[in-house]
Amino acid sequence: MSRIVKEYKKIKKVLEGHGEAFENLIVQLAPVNEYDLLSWKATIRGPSDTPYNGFSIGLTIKIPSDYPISPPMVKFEPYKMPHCNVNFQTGEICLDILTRQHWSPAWDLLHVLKAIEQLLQEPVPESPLNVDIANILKEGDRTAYTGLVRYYFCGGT
Amino acid sequence: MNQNVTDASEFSKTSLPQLGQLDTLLRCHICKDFLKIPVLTPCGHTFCSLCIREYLTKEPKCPLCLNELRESSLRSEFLVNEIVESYKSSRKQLLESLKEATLTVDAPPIDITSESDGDDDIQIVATNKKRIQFRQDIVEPNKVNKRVPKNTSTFNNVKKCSKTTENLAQCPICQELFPLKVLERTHLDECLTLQSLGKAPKKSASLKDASSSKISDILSKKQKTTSPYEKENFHVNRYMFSANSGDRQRLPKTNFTSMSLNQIKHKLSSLGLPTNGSRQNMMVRYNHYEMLWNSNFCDAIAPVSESELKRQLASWEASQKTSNLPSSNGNTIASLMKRSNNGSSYQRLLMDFKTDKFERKLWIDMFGREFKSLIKEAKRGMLSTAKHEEKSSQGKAQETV
Repeated sequence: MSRIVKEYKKIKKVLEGHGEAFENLIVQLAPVNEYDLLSWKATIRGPSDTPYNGFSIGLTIKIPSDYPISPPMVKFEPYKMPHCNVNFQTGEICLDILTRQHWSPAWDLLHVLKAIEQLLQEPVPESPLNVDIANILKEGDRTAYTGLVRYYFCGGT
Repeated sequence: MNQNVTDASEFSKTSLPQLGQLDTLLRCHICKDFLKIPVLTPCGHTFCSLCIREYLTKEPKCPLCLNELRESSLRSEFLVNEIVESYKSSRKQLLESLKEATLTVDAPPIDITSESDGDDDIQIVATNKKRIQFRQDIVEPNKVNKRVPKNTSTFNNVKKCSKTTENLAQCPICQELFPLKVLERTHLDECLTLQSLGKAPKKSASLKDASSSKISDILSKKQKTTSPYEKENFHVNRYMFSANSGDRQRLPKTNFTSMSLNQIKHKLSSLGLPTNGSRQNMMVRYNHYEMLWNSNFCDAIAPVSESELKRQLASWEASQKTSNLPSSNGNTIASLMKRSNNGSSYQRLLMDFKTDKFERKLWIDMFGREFKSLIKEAKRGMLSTAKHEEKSSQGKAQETV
């Protein structure tokens, strides 16, 4: 429990401008309210040279009671996320470091967001949760991919 | 929000921002706090004993390099333990004096000496030297490095150092006295590398005695202003005389699947553990106690008693119960109150009664009504007896009339 308090303090410092590494990535990363550090909200910038460039993407993070032994549970919420490794309906992310087998307690929430950024930059169509986008990517159709993502972000259903 | 939460970035505003590295290195990568009973893995990484043991029950690998790792291959690191402890004990002072040094570099010396009246001339010299030393540290760290490892040019140096800084500590390897900061920052590293290269300066016993007598001379002169010798060298001595006593056996991992409920109960009660709750509860309880036990008796330099372990187990269990509630927000009073309706939670509260974890407010909330009614009753009782007495005394008065 005290671990997440420490992380909160560190994150505050990082976001206040000590960490240049995260300046291009994180818009917001904070607990939903100060009395409950077990549920967090994050907003990240879509990385440049991806179709997500220029959009801000919302995430919810749930901290399990035995964190950091167990990994945090991260979802794309409340907005739908078109990405081949994200379940379009639930926002669930297919990312190895978020599973119990591959998670390491030495990592923290900043590492997690960094990993998600990397997933946005390098989608893995081989293990898809969104088959349609995975197929488009396998065909190598960047234009369709970009168009589809833009469509959803600019008010598609 | 929490005053006790410290982190390495506190050094970034001082005159020695590079100390932040040391601060970071002395922390466990799992709990991000200072290492508590550090243990070494075969892959060369160090964690708190409890942190890594808890993680290894879930995944058998090192959190840092992801190599395979078994609990049995963990080894305790007494030296790191004492380094962390001695660093922790002087960290606050260190931070403050470093901040002060940055603030007062250009101010006249009178500012400082006015705070500490007493032997004025010495104090002025000392503070001046101290300040100059700080500057040297920043500008020419080599100078310090050069001076320190020369074990032969001993006592003049030691004397000088003892005047300049108040925190002296003995190097556990070469037995020399150094200012704590120098010892932590540069000297220990050098001494260790020297030792690992096989060049450790081995001293004869007589020399050692001579040095210690000299040291005690210096210290007796200093004693008026600083804490006693034993206190300063507590961590060093504890390390020197540390040994795994081995009078307690390691608790084995137990396979509960083949055991009957009675066998499990017997096992728990043979260790003096409570046997209430379901089979699952008892298994979890044993496993956590095994972890606490092994971490305490196999890894710790100063093991605590069994009853202390049981207290830790009880408070851990209490925290588990609350955090596993479906309402999910941990330790809020509201969720605890919900439990209190189940009737059994006062027992849990009672478990912590003698410790600082006891939740006083909750206790009052729970029994406030009873307390109030008891108070009322007591007051009423007092009133009625008072009336009674009044009446009887009146009666007596009437009788006498």
